[in-house]
Amino acid sequence: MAKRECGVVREMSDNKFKSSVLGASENKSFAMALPAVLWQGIFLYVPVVFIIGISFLKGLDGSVFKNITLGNYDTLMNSSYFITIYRSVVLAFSTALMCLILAYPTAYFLAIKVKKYKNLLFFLLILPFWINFLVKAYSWFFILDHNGFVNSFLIKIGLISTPFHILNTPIAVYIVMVFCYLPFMILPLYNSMAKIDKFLLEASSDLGATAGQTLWHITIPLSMAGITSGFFLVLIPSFGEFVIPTLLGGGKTMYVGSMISYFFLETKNVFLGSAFTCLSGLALIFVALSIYFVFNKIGKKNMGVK
Amino acid sequence: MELRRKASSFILPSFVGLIYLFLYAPIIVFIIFSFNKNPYSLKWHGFTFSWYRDLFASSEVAEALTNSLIVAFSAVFLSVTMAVFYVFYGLGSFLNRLTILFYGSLIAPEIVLATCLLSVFSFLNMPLGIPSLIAGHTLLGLAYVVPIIKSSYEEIDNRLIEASMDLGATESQTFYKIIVPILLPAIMSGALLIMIISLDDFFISFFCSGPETLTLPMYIFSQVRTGATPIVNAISTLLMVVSSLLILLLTSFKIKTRFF
Amino acid sequence: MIIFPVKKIFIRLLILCFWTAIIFLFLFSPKISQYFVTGKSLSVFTFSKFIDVECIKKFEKETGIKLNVNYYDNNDELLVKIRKTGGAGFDVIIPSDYAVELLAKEGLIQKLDKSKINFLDRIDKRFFGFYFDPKNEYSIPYAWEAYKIGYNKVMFKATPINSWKMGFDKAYAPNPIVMNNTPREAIMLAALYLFGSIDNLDDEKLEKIKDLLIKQKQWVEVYTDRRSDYYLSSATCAVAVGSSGEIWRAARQDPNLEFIVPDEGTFMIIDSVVLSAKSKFPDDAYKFINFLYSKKIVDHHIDKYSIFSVLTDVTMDERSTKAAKYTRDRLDKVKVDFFRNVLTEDQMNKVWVELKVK
Repeated sequence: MAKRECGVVREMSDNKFKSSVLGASENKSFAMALPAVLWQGIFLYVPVVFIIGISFLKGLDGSVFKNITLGNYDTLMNSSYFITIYRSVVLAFSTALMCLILAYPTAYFLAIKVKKYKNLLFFLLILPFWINFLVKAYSWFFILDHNGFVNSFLIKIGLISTPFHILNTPIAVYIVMVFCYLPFMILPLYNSMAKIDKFLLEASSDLGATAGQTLWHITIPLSMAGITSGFFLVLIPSFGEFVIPTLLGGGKTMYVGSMISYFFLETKNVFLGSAFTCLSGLALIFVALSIYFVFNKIGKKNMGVK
Repeated sequence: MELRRKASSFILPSFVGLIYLFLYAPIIVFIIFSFNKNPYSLKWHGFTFSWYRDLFASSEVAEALTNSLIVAFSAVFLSVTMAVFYVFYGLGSFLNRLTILFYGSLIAPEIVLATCLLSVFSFLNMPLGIPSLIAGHTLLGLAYVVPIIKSSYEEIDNRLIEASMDLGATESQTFYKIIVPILLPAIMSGALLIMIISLDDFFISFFCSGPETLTLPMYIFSQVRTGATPIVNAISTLLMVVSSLLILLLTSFKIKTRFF
Repeated sequence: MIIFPVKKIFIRLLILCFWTAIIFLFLFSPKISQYFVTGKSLSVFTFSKFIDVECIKKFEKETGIKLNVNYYDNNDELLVKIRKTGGAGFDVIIPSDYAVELLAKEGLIQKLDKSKINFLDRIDKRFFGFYFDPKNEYSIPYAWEAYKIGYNKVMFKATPINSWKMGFDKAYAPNPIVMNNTPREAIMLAALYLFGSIDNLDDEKLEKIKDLLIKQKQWVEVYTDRRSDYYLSSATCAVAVGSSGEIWRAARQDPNLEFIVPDEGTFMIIDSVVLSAKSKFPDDAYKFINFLYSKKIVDHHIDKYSIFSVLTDVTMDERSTKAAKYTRDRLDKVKVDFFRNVLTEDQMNKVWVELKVK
């Protein structure tokens, strides 16, 4: 059982040892450890199963339970709903992609290049998290509006004569989405890049690789874990986002989030809403798994080449 | 070659500088506008503290802030306690193999979590108020705190525990005097994370708020929806100042803020 | 031999039940604690630009009853929230006429005890007896609104005509417009424009309405219920379609803005005060309602939110009085209808969802 050896040998039994040596009875351990799992079960898994369950119900007025049917899904087989889901997928994916493109150099700079002001820059990166995202999103109003900062500035320096129509278009939505989720991409990237041994990069350039080659063959594969977790950390929430598109898109398009909130907060038809939630959940799982599969393939390929 | 190196050492920092500017642009905007005499229009109308005065006089803000803080602290307390007990007492048992369950809240978009909670709560005729909000926020919190504390705990050298037991400490003495202090950085960063998440959370408050609970995000949302944001700008500026001081204070204790 | 650890499983199940019970106790605690709460509190549910919270805090000081004010964006949201709890947790509600009809039908509001109300004689008699509550058993009118088209004189280069064409026909209104964001109101407005009436709307007519709204969307800058004042004043949009609560408030603050009441007719909205069926402190609710209608408070709200009150003895500034009179005169001349409950939710959903998705 390797109990008495130095902690070099880490076996599975180490964990059991940690708790067994404490002398807590098995029942007490169970009692103390249970709440966390119970909490997850009651507040996450039971509700999800519940929603899946009621998506198969239909009622009088859509509010009172009447019978079990696939009718809700039938109603959803309408192009409007598919378009909504597709739109959200595109928004989520393009947000994540742009975040990745913008965040990667930033994280690289912070983790690998910067020596002196690292703490200050990191602090400046964390600070925006404390500001409510609604306030930040709404402040973009003032920046992107017809008479806002961007337009006023461009007109003043004479670059354009009529203001750009940015606000209340999908472009404004896209800009603010990227803005809101960028920190979520930078942090995991930074974390995984900080773990890269700088000597590897030095060695690579010593051996004659160009900066580009080092990046592609060394840095990116080693930061793959950060890329994957950052990508999904942005992809998943932005799929369900509805505040930013509504606030900055002029209320002109529905995304998955606004559709769900419309169903649950403005109509009686909770069953149809649940069915739609399940449908979009399935779509998200499908998309997420495909992307994960692709990332895995890329990761393996690069490791193999090295 | 020299020129190229000089150029490349210039491009990356300026790019990162632009990114930081992008991240701070709206923050600078609302700070400036919190002092603007007429924040509804886009021009500068003169410097004033009146919005700050309104902020402190407003009972709605006081109520929203109080509720939000109550919910946040409760969520932090519950999440951290449950997580620590889960990791400490459960390590090695089959419950710990269920750790993957905690990632569920991260995998689902928050709106799905919120609507599921709402449906169950209304089905059970549960009153929507502060406890339901605390429940939702603790759920979010657990997903972040459990992995942090678990990985931190697994790194504790067995010999410390063994030594402590050998020297005659009881289980709770070992727990409070040895393990908790070592876990403190992880606990603190987890607690901070949950605070931020809870104070910033919108979806769960939006869907699960009852007629009697006003939280800060909901208050801000109702103001932003109608475009009347002078007090909101003032609040956010103050929050930013307070949180900067908090972060500076905490980092001065040399706590590693590892988020993932 | 397989030893089945019955005792172990039994103990674990017990622990599971114990913790589950604690969690549920925690979740249901508000329901339990309200039996111990001695202080009184009233919950007011209103449209967001009707009530000034700081002003009605005076009520708290005078009577010691705590007020919780909640806001709704549109009446659909109100209906969903009230239906969810069956009226529990709400006391005084201020919905629009069509919501009153639905609430009364579903038993979510209670009949009002007129003896506890001291201002009925101050209300203009014209506002009693409408379709949604013919004997005014459930509701008392609070304010009235009419649907209008607001426009920015400076930005709108063409001559304004007294027709909904300004909102629905690009030839008459070339600039981007602001359109209302409530499904029912937008759909019925389109119905009025196309067919002259909101009755007998079958699927074919709804298709036409949907097509019109989708076509209109091309030049809609934004769908909003409450930001039209900003878009008009900042000259981003020349025209806004909305109710007088919005349009008049914008025009009152900005002399560049005008409004018209179209010839084809328009809709009126009567915002009324009702009492929830499960109100905990109905007597105090009546106290609050009396307070709300007291002259000083009404004057304050009229001044702050530019609403048109149903009371006869209020003080309005000159421009508001003129605007109210003009609107009333126009309403006497053109066809006036209400957003009656002639369409089912499903029908409205279909049109609205497809509009927003296209």
